[in-house]
Amino acid sequence: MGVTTTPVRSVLADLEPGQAAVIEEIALPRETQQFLLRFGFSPGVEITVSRRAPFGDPTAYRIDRAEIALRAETARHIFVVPSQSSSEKETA
Amino acid sequence: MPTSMSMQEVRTSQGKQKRVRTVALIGPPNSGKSTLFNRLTRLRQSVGNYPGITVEHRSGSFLVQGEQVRVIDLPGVYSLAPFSEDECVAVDVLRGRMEGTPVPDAVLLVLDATNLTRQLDLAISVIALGLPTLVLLNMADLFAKRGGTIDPLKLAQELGAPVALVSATQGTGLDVVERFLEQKGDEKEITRLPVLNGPSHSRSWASQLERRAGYRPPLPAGWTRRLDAPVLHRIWGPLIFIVVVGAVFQSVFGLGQPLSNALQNLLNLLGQKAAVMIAQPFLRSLLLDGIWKGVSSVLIFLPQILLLFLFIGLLEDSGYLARAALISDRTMRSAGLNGKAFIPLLSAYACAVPAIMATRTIENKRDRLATILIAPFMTCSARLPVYTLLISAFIPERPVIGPLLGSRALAMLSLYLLGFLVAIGTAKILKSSVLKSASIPFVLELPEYRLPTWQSIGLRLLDRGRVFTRQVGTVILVVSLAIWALTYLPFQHGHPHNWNTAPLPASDSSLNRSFSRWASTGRLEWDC
Repeated sequence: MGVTTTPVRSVLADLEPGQAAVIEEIALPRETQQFLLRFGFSPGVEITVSRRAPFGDPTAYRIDRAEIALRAETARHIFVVPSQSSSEKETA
Repeated sequence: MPTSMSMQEVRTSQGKQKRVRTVALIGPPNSGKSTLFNRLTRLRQSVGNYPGITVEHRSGSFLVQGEQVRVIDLPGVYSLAPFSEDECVAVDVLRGRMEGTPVPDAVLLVLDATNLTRQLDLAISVIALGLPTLVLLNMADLFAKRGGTIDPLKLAQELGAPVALVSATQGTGLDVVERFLEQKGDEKEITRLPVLNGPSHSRSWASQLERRAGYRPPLPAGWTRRLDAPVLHRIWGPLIFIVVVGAVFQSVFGLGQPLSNALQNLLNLLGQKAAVMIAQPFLRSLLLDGIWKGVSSVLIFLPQILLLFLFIGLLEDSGYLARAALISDRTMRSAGLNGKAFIPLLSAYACAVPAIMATRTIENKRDRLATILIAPFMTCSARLPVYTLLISAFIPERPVIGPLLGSRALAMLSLYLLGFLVAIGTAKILKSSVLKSASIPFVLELPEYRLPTWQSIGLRLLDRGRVFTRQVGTVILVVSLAIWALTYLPFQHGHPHNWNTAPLPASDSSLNRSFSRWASTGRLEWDC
């Protein structure tokens, strides 16, 4: 996957552990959006990829200081804009 | 039913005192709400079910200035939007629409102080209901230790409800609850709360509110991240998982089984001792073979159930249960279930009853139902003697893979495997038809690691034990009484039918003897 350089709009599921991003759009049914909202998933919120589960899926994300795991099948529909500054901070 | 019992308690005490106050306890999962409930009520608790649904109804009581106050522990919810059964229950109780539950006079809202942002939504929707509400920012000890700050007075002004920092695990700051309940109703300030139009609105409102209340979140617990590194490691993670699960399984089996057996022997001995003192044969048989046998068959389940819940409690309170769900999710998904179903299904190998009781950690109602329905397919320990009997009767011992694996061992393994495969198949059929749940995704919160407290584990064991003996015990007792009546009555030639001396039909094989003995004593014994 294309990492760091030109982050325009990518999918949450494609981010690597340590990368941070801002949620732009959640392309899921309204009901699902509202369900995700209770865990803090909403546009404009910063999210960091914590780590993947040992078998590669689900992935734990740090959002609002909590660790929330999502399956790739859900994270695939969450569009994000990777925030370069914090992703560099994380890797540095 | 426990609920109606505690209702009666309330009614009788109503005669003595003029008013009985009811307080609802609400908060998101992992906010320490149950710990607070246990702190407040100690052992004065009762558990039942709300009419017609699977949500547990927990209530208890405690004294405020000599007056008894009833506490209703509502299920943990993230919001008041009625998504899950739990949330519907919470809303119905708070609005006074729940049948058999009195309208609460006040609300105790428990929030996790270390992670306020996403709980403020719940806070305003609860406060907006208009009941006197006390906001308890729990885990104040952790919050302060990790450098978090907040001005509770300012937050109270913003929310329009009193706010206090407490620690349910340490028991600090809890006197505020009593003070609040003493003077509730006195202050009737109505604060204008924002009308929420959408998620982003409430979000900016929440961050503004946090700023005004001087909220500085604490640093994340460093050791949670450090512990997660090996626990969720690609190689170490699954290894630790297998060791933990194996240890739990081994202790429930290896420790629980002999304890059960010892308890059964003890109960049988007591029964026989008592039988000598009862001369009247009908009465003796009713008391001993009917009631006492029924009571014992309930009680001998307890060691395994309590052991299992001890471990589940330790895993859940420490935070490992969520990690185990994360690790096993990939595997469970192939059956259409999710990671949270793993521990309950594994427990079903020991006994299906606690396994079904343990499914309450699965929030998604359809997933929970699917897990409950397939749990009995797992070969539980009580089925082992029946399998052994059938195998020794029908399968001749023959080596299959040299001396390593005999035909009987293979048959036993196949039976275990068959149960597992049928469970997986059933789960797949259920999840692709009647129990399909498409719109609600699997979301798993990984709480911070915490040291479990003995008080909370002990209370949980007591609670589970009580639920089991009351709800399951009564069914077992009634059934065993019915079986006793069927075998004892009607009289033949003025005497009850004696199954032990009755002539056996057809061939007198060892299988036949074992079965007839099993039918008469309820126990399988070897005949070799």
